[in-house]
Amino acid sequence: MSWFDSPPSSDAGVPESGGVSRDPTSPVVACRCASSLRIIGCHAVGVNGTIRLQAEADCSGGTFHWTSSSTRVTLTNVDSSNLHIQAGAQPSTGRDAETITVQWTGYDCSPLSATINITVVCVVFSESAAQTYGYDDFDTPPDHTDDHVSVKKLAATVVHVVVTGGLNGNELRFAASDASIATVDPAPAQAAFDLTIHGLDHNKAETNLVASVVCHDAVEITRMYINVYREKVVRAVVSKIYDNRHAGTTLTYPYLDVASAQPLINPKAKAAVVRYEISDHSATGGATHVPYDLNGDGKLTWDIAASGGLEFSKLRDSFSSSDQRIVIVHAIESFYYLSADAPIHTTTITLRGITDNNYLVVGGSYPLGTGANCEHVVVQTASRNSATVTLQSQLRHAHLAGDCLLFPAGGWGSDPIVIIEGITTEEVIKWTFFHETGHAVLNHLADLEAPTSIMHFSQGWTDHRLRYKPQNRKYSPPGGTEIQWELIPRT
Amino acid sequence: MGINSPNLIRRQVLALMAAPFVARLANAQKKKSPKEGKVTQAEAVIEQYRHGGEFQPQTTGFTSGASLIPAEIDALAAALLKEPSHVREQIVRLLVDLGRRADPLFSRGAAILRDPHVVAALTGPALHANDAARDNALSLIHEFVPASALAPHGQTLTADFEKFPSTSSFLVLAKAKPGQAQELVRKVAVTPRWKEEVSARIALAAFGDKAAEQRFSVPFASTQDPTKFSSLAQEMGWIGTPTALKALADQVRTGLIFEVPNTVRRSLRLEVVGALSFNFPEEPALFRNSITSEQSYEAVEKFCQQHFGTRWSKPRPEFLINQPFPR
Repeated sequence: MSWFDSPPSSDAGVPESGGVSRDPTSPVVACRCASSLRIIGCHAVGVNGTIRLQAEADCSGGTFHWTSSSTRVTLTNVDSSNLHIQAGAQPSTGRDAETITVQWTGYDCSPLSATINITVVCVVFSESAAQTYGYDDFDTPPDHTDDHVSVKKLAATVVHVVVTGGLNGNELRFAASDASIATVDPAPAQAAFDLTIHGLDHNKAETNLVASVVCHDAVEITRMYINVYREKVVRAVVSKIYDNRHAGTTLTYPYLDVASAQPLINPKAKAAVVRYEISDHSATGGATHVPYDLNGDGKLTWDIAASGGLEFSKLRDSFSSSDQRIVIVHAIESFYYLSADAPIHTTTITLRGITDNNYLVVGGSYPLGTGANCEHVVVQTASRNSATVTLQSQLRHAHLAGDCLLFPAGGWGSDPIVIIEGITTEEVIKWTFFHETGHAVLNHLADLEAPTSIMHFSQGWTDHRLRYKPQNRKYSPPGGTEIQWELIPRT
Repeated sequence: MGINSPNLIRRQVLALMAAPFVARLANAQKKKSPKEGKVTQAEAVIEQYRHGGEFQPQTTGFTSGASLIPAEIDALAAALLKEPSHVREQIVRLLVDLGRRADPLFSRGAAILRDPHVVAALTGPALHANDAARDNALSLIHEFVPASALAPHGQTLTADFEKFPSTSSFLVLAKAKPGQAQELVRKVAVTPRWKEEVSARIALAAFGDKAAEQRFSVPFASTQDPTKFSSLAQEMGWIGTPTALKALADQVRTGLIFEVPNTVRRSLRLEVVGALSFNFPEEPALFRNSITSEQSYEAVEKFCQQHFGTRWSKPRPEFLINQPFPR
């Protein structure tokens, strides 16, 4: 065992202020003057970390005093054989830059001194450009202790590591705190490198990536989180549908390149260890004729109370798949229908077939009736499971049972999912595949108030991420936040 | 080296897994003599994968009419024995996609893969290395290959499990239920690594451990927590014993609803139907897209009455499948 590798005695065996060691294996013997002095402990400490050094003379008795001119460390317990070192926030300017000296003094003896050089080291984890899966820095880049890296089980990813202070990666220890969840490859003899992490055979597990000083008690420098997940595969099939009997149903993008959605989505989905496989229902890549526009208005007419109604059932029954079905149509109009006549001047209307599907919003303005009889009504009160709706103003026209109330839906989270082309771009349609299957397949991920998330409630995305950092839900209830990586089913 | 040395056993197992393909590979190579210089479709896609390409569904060139071309499948299978993990993983995905699309029930919405060539490739060469591709193959076998199609591969799957027990291989054995695996599963499932793992509990139950099965069936029969019910229904389907299936059939009239406000409101009868379909993937009444009306729930109930003699003491709940929400 080398001089500095010697394990320190336990606290019980290390006198705080000199004296005789109780360790029977210690070379210390009872004598008057020491002839040798040694320092036991680690040669490195993490920024803001603490280590302990132990001085040991080969003779009992005497006193110890520790000194250092370093501005990077603060010494406490300096008049003891057992020194406590508190590192500051700044790493060393180079390897072994901090010199610490201990002096032993015995009565009527020549003083002895010993020095040790240590390094204050800083380890910073961050996202690697070469990573295989995801990295969430919690929007706090200076603090990586809250960072999470994701990795597929039985696969590998990398985290970027920068070591400052003068040491290289191979002089530190990088390991998972639970080696049954993940393993870490040895770091190279470089100060900046990608560290490889292997996920082991767990469908969903979390551990820490810990950087430590290589010495007997492996003093921790810093840590972050590793999340191992079973990959969730989202299989979706897209059918672009028109009704050749009605020109209004003609698609703007009849040859939308469905296959290209997969390489668009997967670089974002992989962050949550999710992979998309998206296929086109049409063998030719073109649109499919389905005679769905029964009323010939050029739109998909959606009967809300009937979970879509007749026109939707034509789309639904037009193809089958065990994959998540998605249909694209050019336009949609969604309706409630009155269940009873609503006379002029009344402020109450009743809707047909309401069973927890009244989505009208208090204060919302909706067109009621058609043609000359159409008027906009503003909702005073409405609730999800009530067919009765009160209005802010009296009706200006009489309406008959069966008259329609237009509800402005941009699509429906049905099976198949209905996506409307509207006036959007092809790329936005492809991202909408991701968003809508997030609701349908990824354990019903909620709409968020988070423009950088693919689950942002509107198509005004600024990015398309799935994250570990808790994200604010748009709607209340349920309200609150959700951790997307953790919500995604892993079975 | 002793006759039972691990290396010898490993070689024997590898030989067993690879044998059918070595012969066919020889044939496949004959078809591409230097004179002909023809590159098969399999070789072309493998070359893409070698350069970092990723699998995309609907890859063409592997079928003749409605049937898969055996030589192409053989070439993919042969590559599984020698390519690195990334390439193997893409090949596994491709094989599964090809096998699913080639199945006559694919267009009707069945989640099924029965092509014997593809199943042989997945249960043989795909499992040749203990990597992500192997785990992927096992997951996909579990998801799509019916127990009847796995029956000829019981010995191979058991040998694979003996070499590399894993969360996924426990589930595949639970589905295939090869008799020769029973003792091995019982032995491995109680080891410290696996004794708390749910997939090991499922496999024990699948091989007839009643106590293990009751850890699923008792809470399944009583829970009113939709999330727990949904998870247990899936696990009961994976166990797939007659008692587990009967317990599932008993819950076909569950009134439980999974709901996330403003996002989803879904009858958990669909989870029960899905769990039954996992065991009866050829049954049209249980296909994912089949449940559209009260009549389709009636068809499911009729199936349960015929197969399990199920009688329900409570009326059918109010009709609900997956309530659409506006976007």
